[in-house]
Amino acid sequence: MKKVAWLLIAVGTLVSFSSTLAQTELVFWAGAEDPGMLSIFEQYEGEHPDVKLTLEIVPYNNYSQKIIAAAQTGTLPDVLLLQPKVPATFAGLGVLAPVTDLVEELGGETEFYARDLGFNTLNGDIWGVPFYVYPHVLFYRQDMFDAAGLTSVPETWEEFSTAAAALTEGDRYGYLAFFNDPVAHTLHQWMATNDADTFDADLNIVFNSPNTVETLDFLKSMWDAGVMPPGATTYNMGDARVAFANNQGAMIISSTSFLNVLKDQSPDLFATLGVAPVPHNKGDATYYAFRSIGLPKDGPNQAAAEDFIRWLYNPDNLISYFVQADLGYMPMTKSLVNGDAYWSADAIAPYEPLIRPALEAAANGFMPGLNAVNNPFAGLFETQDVYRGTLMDVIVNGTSPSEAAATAAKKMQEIMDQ
Amino acid sequence: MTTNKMTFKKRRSRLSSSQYESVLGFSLFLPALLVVTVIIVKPLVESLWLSLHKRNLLSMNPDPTFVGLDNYVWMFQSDWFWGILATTLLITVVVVNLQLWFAIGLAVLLDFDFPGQGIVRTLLITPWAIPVVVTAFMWRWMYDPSFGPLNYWLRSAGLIDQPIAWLGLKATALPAVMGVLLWKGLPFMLLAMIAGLQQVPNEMREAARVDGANPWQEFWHIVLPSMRQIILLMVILRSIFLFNHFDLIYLLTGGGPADATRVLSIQAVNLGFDSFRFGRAAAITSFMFLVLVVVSVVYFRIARMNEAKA
Repeated sequence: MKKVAWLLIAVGTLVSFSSTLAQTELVFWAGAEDPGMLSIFEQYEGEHPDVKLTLEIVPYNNYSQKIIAAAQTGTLPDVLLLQPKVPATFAGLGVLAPVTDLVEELGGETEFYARDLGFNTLNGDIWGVPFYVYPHVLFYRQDMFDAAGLTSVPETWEEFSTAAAALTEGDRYGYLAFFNDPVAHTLHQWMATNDADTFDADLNIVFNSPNTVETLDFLKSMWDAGVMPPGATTYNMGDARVAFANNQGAMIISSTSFLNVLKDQSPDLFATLGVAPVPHNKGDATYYAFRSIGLPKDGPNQAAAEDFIRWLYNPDNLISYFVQADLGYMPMTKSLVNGDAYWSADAIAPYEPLIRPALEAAANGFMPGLNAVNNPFAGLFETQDVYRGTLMDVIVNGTSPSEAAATAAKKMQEIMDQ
Repeated sequence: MTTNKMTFKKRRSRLSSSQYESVLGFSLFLPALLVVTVIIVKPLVESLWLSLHKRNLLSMNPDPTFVGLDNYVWMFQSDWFWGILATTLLITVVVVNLQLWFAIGLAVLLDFDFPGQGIVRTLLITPWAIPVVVTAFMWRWMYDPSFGPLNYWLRSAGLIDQPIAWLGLKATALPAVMGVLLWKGLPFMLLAMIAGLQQVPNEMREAARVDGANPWQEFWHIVLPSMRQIILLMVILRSIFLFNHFDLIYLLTGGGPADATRVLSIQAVNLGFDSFRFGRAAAITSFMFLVLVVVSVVYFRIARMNEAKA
């Protein structure tokens, strides 16, 4: 009897060990924990017991550095969630595998927007599958507008600065800008609406164009007018959001992921919250951010990773992700955006009046450095602090916008040359 | 077998008792020496080696290229180098001096008996016990213009009309950072000065009083000279620490705003981990190491001279 018991234990151990051996583990890198992703992983594992999905968090402010280090040491994961400029940058460095065929299989331009595919394309190949988008929009407090006697939401730069001045009173500021942010969101938010960019179609640096100088000048004038909080030079996006949620300001330009923060921490604000496109000047693009899904070059589990992506992009599974993901992360596939299933989902429907204008604004999406021609350099300007440095030079040092833009253009050229 | 035993006996008899102790001592010390070599010496040598090579991770080329002193030449000719070096030296000199004189003053005060002396001492030591990350977050909040208590107190006292972004303005960021460094490092200096004060011979102090010296004269002519060695040691140690300092400044400002608080260590990290130019980053850290070696050599010479005089 004892022998039989030991035999059964041995066989059971062997079976479970061998089933573990037979299981494929897919490691997925993302910059932040995402409840939608964890739920999707569980669902996939339930349907595919031979696959184990592991989410590893790599903070986005170190993401590029980690990818480079992992590429050098051969320790890249099986799937990567890519920030906007990363597909082009790392495709150029030979770190990613092309997903052109996979995207075609998932519907190509029938299913994905040409604009989004364009930002993921380099040298004729696609390097990231567009996943979710979160454009930057103007969030405003209707109650503060009413109290200041403002009857309409600003649509132009001039209207915005006038409104910001009218809304500034005591310790409450009209515009909650934030300059201490490595991605320099504040600069790009306004460059998008002024037809200013980093490169032209021939990959010449045009960052020091009159439109960029005008954008820097506009921000400087608002800083000098005192419509921004004094802490703006130390604020990142999170700090500015905290200030907005604590009634310290009437307007903030932020990505739609802010909706999730408000939903969790200040749900009462929704009663008086408005969303509008960022006021425009010479252009009407919308600065946006998105995430794509990428695969490492020569990944050992590429086939299994591609199977997962195929499964994920089944519309039912995608909706399942989006209704559980952070509010404000929006789909990039036409079937979901144009269909009813996404908009009528319980988690989405109450917020449609806020989300839909943002998604419509994102139709004319702006991605700094990538709009004219996709290239591997724009991401490097960000990691090497060129954009933020320029903004700080103007605001903190008082350097003239034209001089600061010229210095930045020179730095960009040096980075490209290296 | 017999031959081996004889050889063994012969070998043993060659070592005297003191030689045997030396060999034993060295063998026991060897593991620690190996650890120090691996953790300190090897990275140091590799960093110096890297500083003589071009190593750009963005080129995805695994093989560094020897460039001699090019990285150092580039560094000295950069438009940022002398400004950042000046900031680093300013922080070092100002904060060390403030820490020293505050510590000496507090040590002298704590030398007197008064009720609650123990509690006061404990409170003064507390900053040292707070982790660096907590310190940085705490002071960022203290300095915050919208939510921070410092602005609130100053406005309540009528000293300012509008809140000041202490860490966000060029004029205030560096002093604000120095204030935090002073606060954080003061306890260590204070403990050393307290210990140094206790080494001052009481007889000399009494003799000075008997000779008619007032408290200031006693302090300046007796106490301070007696503390010379500990003061010199602490100034050197704190200077090395502050010249190298990275974590607190990086967490408070990241070197901003607009490079107002950028020091050499932050520049090295940015160059290595944001720009991926490891050869150039190693040149900065190697330069810092060489500066500190020179400072240490000067210290040892002065210390030896003082010992000889004594």
